[in-house]
Amino acid sequence: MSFIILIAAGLLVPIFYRNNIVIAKIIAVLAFILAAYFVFKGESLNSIFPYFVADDATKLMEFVLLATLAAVSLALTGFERPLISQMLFLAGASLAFLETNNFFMFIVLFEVIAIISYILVANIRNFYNAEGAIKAFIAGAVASGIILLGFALFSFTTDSFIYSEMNVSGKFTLIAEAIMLAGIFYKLTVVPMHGWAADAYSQVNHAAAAILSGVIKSVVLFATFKAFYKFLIAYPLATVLIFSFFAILTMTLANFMALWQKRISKILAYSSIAHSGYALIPFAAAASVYSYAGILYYAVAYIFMQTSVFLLLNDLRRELGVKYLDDIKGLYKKAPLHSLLFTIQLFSLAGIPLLAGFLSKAVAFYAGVDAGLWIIVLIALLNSALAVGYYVWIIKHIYFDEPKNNGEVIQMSTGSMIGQLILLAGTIYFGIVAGDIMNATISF
Amino acid sequence: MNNAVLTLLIAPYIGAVLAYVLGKTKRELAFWVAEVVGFILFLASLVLFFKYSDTVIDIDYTWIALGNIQIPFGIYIDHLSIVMLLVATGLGFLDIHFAHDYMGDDPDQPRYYAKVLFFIGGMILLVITKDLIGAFVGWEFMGLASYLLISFWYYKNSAADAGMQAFLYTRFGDIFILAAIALLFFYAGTVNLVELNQMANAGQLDKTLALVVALFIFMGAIGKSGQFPLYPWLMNAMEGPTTVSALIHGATMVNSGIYIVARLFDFFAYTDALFIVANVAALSAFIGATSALVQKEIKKILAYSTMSHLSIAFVGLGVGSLAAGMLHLVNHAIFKALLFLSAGAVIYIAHHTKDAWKLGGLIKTAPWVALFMAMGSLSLAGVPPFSGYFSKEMVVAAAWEWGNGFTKTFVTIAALLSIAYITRLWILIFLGEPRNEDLKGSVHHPSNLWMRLPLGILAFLTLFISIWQCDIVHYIVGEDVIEPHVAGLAAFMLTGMLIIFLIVVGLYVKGLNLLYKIASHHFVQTIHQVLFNGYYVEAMITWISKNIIVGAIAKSMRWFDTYVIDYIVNKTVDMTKFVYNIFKAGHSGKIGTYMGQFVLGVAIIVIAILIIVKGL
Repeated sequence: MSFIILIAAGLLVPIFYRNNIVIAKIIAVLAFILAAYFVFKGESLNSIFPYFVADDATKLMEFVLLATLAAVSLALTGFERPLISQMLFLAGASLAFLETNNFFMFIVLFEVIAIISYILVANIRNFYNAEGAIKAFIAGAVASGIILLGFALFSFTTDSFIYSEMNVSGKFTLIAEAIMLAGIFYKLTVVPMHGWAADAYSQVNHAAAAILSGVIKSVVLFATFKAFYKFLIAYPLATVLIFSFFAILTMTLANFMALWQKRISKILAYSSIAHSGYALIPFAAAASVYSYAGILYYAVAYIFMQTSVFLLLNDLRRELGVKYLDDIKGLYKKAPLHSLLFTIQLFSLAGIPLLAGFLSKAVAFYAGVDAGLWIIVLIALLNSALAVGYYVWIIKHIYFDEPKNNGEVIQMSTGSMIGQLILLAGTIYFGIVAGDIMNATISF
Repeated sequence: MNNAVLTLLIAPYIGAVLAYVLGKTKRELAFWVAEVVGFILFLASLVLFFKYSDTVIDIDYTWIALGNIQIPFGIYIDHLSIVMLLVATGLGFLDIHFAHDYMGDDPDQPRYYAKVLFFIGGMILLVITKDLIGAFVGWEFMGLASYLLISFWYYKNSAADAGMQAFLYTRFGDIFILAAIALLFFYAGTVNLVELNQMANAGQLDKTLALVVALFIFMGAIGKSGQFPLYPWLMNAMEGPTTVSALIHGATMVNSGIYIVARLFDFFAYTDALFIVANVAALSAFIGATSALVQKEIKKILAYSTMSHLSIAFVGLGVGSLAAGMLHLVNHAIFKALLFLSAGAVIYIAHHTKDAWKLGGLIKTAPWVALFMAMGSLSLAGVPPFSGYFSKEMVVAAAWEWGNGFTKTFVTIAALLSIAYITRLWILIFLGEPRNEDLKGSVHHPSNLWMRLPLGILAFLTLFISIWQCDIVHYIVGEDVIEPHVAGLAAFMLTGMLIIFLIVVGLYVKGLNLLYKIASHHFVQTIHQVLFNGYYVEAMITWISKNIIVGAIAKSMRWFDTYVIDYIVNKTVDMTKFVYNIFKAGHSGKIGTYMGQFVLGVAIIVIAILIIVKGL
C-alpha cells in the first residue's frame, strides 16, 4: 500500500511543482506520512506483493528513511524542485528494496535505485555538475555489469532466491558472492571503488549529494546486510578477511584525504567514504549477535547526520556562495542557526556522546569486539580520533575565525527549518535512546 | 510511565527552553513561563504525594544494554523522594514567584529563569532516580546550574570567580562519586540504590569495598553540601542573586549531599562510614556556627548558618538517626528559604546594600519583613513552638544518646550558637538607627503579592509544620522509629539559648560601646580574623593547589607536554601530509584512473577469494 501511495504521489507531484511548490511539498509530505502509517500497520508491500516481509528492524529503517526524505523534500527549493518527485519514487523503490526477501528482487531493485540516483544527479546546472554526474554514471554502469556477472554465476548454483532458502555452499557461490560484493562496494564507496564518489558527492548539486551519500547509502548498507547475511555466516574466514581489509583501507585513506581538503563538500564526501569504512565493521563481525543491531544503528544514525550536513551546505552555498573553508570563517555571525545545526551534526559525525553518531559507532564497534576483531576496532577508534581533526577544523572556522567580509545575517526558510529539525530530532533521539534499535534487532 | 512522573522529568527542560526563547521576544514572558512550569511541577509532586503514598513507584529501564554492559536508568519514588520533591518544587515555585520583583529590573531574565528551571529539573532527577548513574546526571546538572547561576552577573569579576570556585570545589567531590560508581559497577555489579541497601542489609557486600565506596560518596556529599573542608565555595556563592542563594545554596541543592546519604542509609550503616560522617559533620557544624558569629554580610552569615545546619542534619544521620537528619533537612529547607528570601527583601529595600553593619532601623519601613524574618530566625535558633526546635532537639538528643564525645560536644555548641548569630543579624538589620545615609531617604517598598506573600507562606509553614513533625518522621522512616530521649536536655538547651540570647541583645542593643571595646583587644581581634576568614581553610586550599598542584605537578607536566607531546603531535601534521600526498596520487579526477582502481579492487577481492577457495 505504501508503495502504491508513494508511486502515485510521485506521478502527481510533477503537475504542481512548477507552479506551486507548496502544494507539491504538501502532497509529498502527506504521501510520506501515509506510507509510514501503512508501514506501521504492516501493510506496506507484503500485503500486496509476494517476496516482501518486514521485520521490526526493517520497519524502523523505513520510518527513518521516510522521515529523512520528508525532511529533504521540505528543504528543497528553486531548480531542485524535480527532486521532490524523484524522491517519492526513490522512497517507493527503497521500501521494496528494504523489505524484499528475494535475492533476485534485491538485484533488480538495486539497479532501480541506481537508475534513480543517475536521474537525481542529472539535474545539471554547470560544468561541475555534469562532470560529477558522468562519473557517477560511468562508475555505476561498470558496477552494474560486475554485479550482474556475479549474480549470473550465483544463479547457476542456487535452487532458490529466497534469502532463507538460498543454497550458499560451494566454491562457485563464494566467487559469485565476491564479485557481487565488488559491485556493491561501489555504491557503498569502499576504497578503491570510491574514486567516483569523492568527486561526484562534491560536484553534483548538494541536495542530490545529500540523498546520494546519506539516504541511498544507508539503505543499500542495510539491505545488503540482510541479503548477504547467509553468505557472511557461511564463509567466516572470507568474511572477516575481506571486510576487515576493506574497512581499514577505506577509513584510513578517506580520513587522511579529508584532512587536507579545502573544499567543504570534498571534506564531507571523504567523511562519507570514511563512514562506509566504519560501517563495514558489523559486516566483518557478522558472527556476533550484535552485528544486525550495529548495521541498523549505523544506517539510522548516518542517514540523519549526513543528509543534514549536505542540506545545510546546500543552503549555505545558495545564500552565501559557500564553497571553501575560507568562506565559512566567522559564519556564526552571518548564519547563527545554520552554524549551530551544522556544528551539532558534525559533532555527531565525529562521534561525540549523546548524539546518534556516538551510539552508532559504539554499537557497531561493540559488535566487532564481540566477534573478536579487537585490532580492527582499535584501528577504527584511532581513525575516529583522526577524523575529529577535520570536523573540528570546520567548526573552528565557523566560530573562532574572523569573517572576511561582513554580510547580512541570513535567515533559514521555514521548510528548511522544519526539515532540519526533523533530522536534528533523529540525531538527538537516537543519541540518547538506544532501546528502540536494540529491541528491534533482538529477534534476528 | 506515570503522567506525573513524566511531567516532573521533562517539563523543567521544556520550560527552560520556552522561558528562554519566549523571553527573548518579550521579557515578561520568561517569568510567566517559569511561574507556570514551577506551579505544574509542584502540582505533579502533590499528585504523587496524594496518590502514591501507599505504593512505591518503581520503574526499571535500561538505557543501554550491550551484552554484559548495561547502563540502567530506573525511576524509584518512595516517601523519601516525595518529601524531597515537595521541598524542591514547592520552594522552587515560591522562589520563582519571589524573583518577579527581585529580578524585575534585570535585562537577562530569560537566561535567569531558564537556568532556574534547568536546576529544578536536575534536582528532580536526582531524587527520583533509582540508580547512581541517574543520580550522578542530576547531581551534575545541578552543579552546572549552580555554576551558571552563581556567575549569573558574569561581568562582575567576583561573581565569575565565585562561580568558577564553586564549580571546581564541587567537581573535586564529584570525582569521588564517579570513582564510587565505577567501583560499584565492577565489583558489586550494581549501581542500583535500592539494591545496594538490600545487599548491605543482607550482608552480601565486601566490607572494605563498601567502606571505600561510602567514603567516596560522602566526599561528593561534602563538596555539594559545603562540609569541612570543601565549604569555602558556599560562602563565595553568595555573589549570585539572592533568590538563587535561597533556592540553591540554602534550601535545595545543598541538601542533595544529605539526601544521597539518606538514600543509601542502610549501606552507610553497614560500612561504619556513619562514624566518619558524624565526626566530620560535627566539626563542620562548629566551624559554621562560630564563623557565622562575626560575618558582616547578611548573606554570608546565612551561608555559614546553612553550613552549620546542614552539618547538624548530617550529624543526625551520622549518629544513626535517619529520622532526625531528614526532619532537620525539611525544616531547615523551609526556614532557610524564608531567611534568604527575607534577606533578599531587605537587600531589595535597601538598594542592594548587603553589609549588615550599614543597615539598621528597617523595622519602621518594613515591619512585615521584620516579622517574617523574626519567625524564620526563631525557627533557626530552635525556639519552640517553631519547627526548627523539634528537629534540632531531636538531632542533639540523638547525638547525646548514640554519638561519641567529640560529636556531642561540637554539635551542642553549634546548636546553641545559632541563636547568637541569627539574633545578631536581626538586630543589626532591623533595630537601632540606620547606619547608612541612603536608607534615610526613600527606600523600595516590597509589594504584597510578589514579596510579602511568599515570605508569609514560608513563615506560616515554619510555624505550623510543627504540628506534623511526628507525621513527617513516620512518613519518611516508617512507624517504628526509635526516638532518642535524653532527660533534661531540652531544659539545658533552652536555658543555654536564653542566656546567649540575653548576652547578644545586651551587647548589640544596649552595649555597642562595650562591644567595640572588647573587639579592639588584640587577642579578640586575632580570633575574629580566624573566624571571619572561615578558619583560613580557603587560604589553605588555595595555597596547596597553587604551590603544590599547579606549581610543582602541573608545571612539570606542562614541560613534558610542551617539549615531548607537542613535538610528537606537531610531527603528526607532517605525517598526515606525507600520507595524503601518497594517497592523492590516486585521485586525479579522471574517470579512467578511477575505473582502473575499480578493477584493481575487484581483482583484489577475486584473487583473495580464489586463494581462500583453494584452501577450502
